[in-house]
Amino acid sequence: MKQNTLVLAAVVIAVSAMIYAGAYKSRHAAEPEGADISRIAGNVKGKVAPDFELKTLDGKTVRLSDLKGKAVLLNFWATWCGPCKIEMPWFVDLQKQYGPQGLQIVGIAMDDSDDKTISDFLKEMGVNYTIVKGKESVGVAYGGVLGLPTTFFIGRDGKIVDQAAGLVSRSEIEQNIKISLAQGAAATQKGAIK
Amino acid sequence: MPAQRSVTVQPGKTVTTKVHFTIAQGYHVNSNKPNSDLLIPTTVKIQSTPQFVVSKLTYPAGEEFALKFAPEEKLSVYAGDVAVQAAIKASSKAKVGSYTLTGELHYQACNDRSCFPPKTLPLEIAVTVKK
Repeated sequence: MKQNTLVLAAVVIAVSAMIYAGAYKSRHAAEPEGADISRIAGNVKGKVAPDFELKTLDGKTVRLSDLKGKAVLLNFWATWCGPCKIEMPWFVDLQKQYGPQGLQIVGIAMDDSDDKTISDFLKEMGVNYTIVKGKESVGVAYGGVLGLPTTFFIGRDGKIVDQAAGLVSRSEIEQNIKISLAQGAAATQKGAIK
Repeated sequence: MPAQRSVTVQPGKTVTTKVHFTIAQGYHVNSNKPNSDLLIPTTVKIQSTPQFVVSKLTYPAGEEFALKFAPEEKLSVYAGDVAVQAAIKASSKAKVGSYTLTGELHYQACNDRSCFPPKTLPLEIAVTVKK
């Protein structure tokens, strides 16, 4: 065989938010539902977390508004996301530790894997918190989730305490959980927590 | 669309080529053989045509990489400049002339804190058949 090795193509993978945004936009364009979801942008701290309605793997509906009075850690993730996998055991521990105080972790799966793949992955990871299947419209509502993981910490009053784009340390996550549990606590002491 | 050069081949012969791509500094993509079934491998596809058969794709080995928070978990990734080799055989009946093969590069990129959705980039390879 004649070896005539040539450089044929110079493909520059410019891994940037712009490229992601293109893919994101095209995927979102094919998704009509959720158009009425309110959107947040820019500095999200102090803004009311947009409500959403998403399904669990077994078809149950989860609405953020149903969790009113709880502190919510909202985590956008995917099975193909290595950094997401690292923080999941932390979430399992933190749900055990802070669940009785009113924390609810909600993982929004943003990948196209089938339900069985996701379900098997969750079993392997021992996930003990709520997982729902994501929609791009929810990511858009949260200001555009440019990479995974992206986590929002929501206080008991439904306002966003902080946002973490990408993997951060467990201690930073735990600190934000504590702040979320404290935020709006006074207003929910009369049995508003379900 | 990636830049391209032309490759020349005689009817009935095989030419070996390389598809090059460069990953931006600070980022990596999974290798063609990542260490988990859940991770999305980097793949190159080049469509065969009646005149040409893409007979073999050879991927480089991945580099070991570990995230800061999980140093014990080794990933197999590509970073920097990467070349995937492809063998293209021209049919013995291929007529002299210029052709374009099309294909795609599929990858899923991350940095040390975040991962980005899978993406597909188109490829075009110009092939000239000469006697």
